[in-house]
Amino acid sequence: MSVVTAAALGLPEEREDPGKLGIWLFLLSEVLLFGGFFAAYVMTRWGSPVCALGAPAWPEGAARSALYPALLNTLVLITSSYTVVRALCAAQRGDRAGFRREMGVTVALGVCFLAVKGFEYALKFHHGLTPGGEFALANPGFRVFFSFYFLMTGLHGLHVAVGLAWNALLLGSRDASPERFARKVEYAALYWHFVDVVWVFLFPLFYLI
Amino acid sequence: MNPKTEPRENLYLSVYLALVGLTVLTVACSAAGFAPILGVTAALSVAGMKAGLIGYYFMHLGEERSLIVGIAAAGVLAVLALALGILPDIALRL
Repeated sequence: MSVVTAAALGLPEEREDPGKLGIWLFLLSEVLLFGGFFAAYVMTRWGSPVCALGAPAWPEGAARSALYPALLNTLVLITSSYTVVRALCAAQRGDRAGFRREMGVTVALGVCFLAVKGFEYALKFHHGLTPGGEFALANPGFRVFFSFYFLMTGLHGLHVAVGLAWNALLLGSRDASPERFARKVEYAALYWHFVDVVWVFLFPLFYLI
Repeated sequence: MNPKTEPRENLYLSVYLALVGLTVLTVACSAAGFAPILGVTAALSVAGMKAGLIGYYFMHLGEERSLIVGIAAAGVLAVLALALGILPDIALRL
């Protein structure tokens, strides 16, 4: 049986980079993971008579005490998305020094995000603002809110830590092939942008509404 | 390596500045003290715009082939299905 190829027909070979396809499929699974939690949170806030928007039991302004650290973290993650895309440009140009500079800043911003998040968690624990704290136990709305808050921001923080480790590994990479190296940077950058997109939704839902 | 990267970097700076501007807008909307439903709609709309900018420009969805765009679209549709699927339950409880 003969196989007709695109080249035989004089057409350009159109093949998707399997690595990029794989990372996008992985991101799809991550969207489903976070999407389920987001849907549960929205249903709890809008659908429950105890926790609904405007109900006195729900923390007004959510975690307003942590608004400024969260705003700082939003700006930190957005900036890191910008620096990682610049790192990708440098890798595609074959500019290793430029890549190390931009990716170094990205890694530093990732560490900064986790440090601010750690500070925010420490404040919450210090004031007893946990699902099992006395304050929350006296108020079911707060209890539900803090359960969602720690689950979703914690899961996101875990993703940031993984992305940080991935970026740091690339920073120390000695890959001799510029094309292959640029592809590796692209995969890591896609993951890092996804982490940023998740935070873009977490920020208003947990700190502003 | 890639001659397109230089002009792209200017575009990325513009996108970055737009993302910072939209973040400020989100906080301003929250501080304006809108009615809850309006506040939620405004905050999620701005978040959607920010996610769109990141996806289209930083993740290069605008330049990807249909298979990758289809995977990204499947994710968005799945989240929308989850959100719309819970609406009847919310409507019955309110």
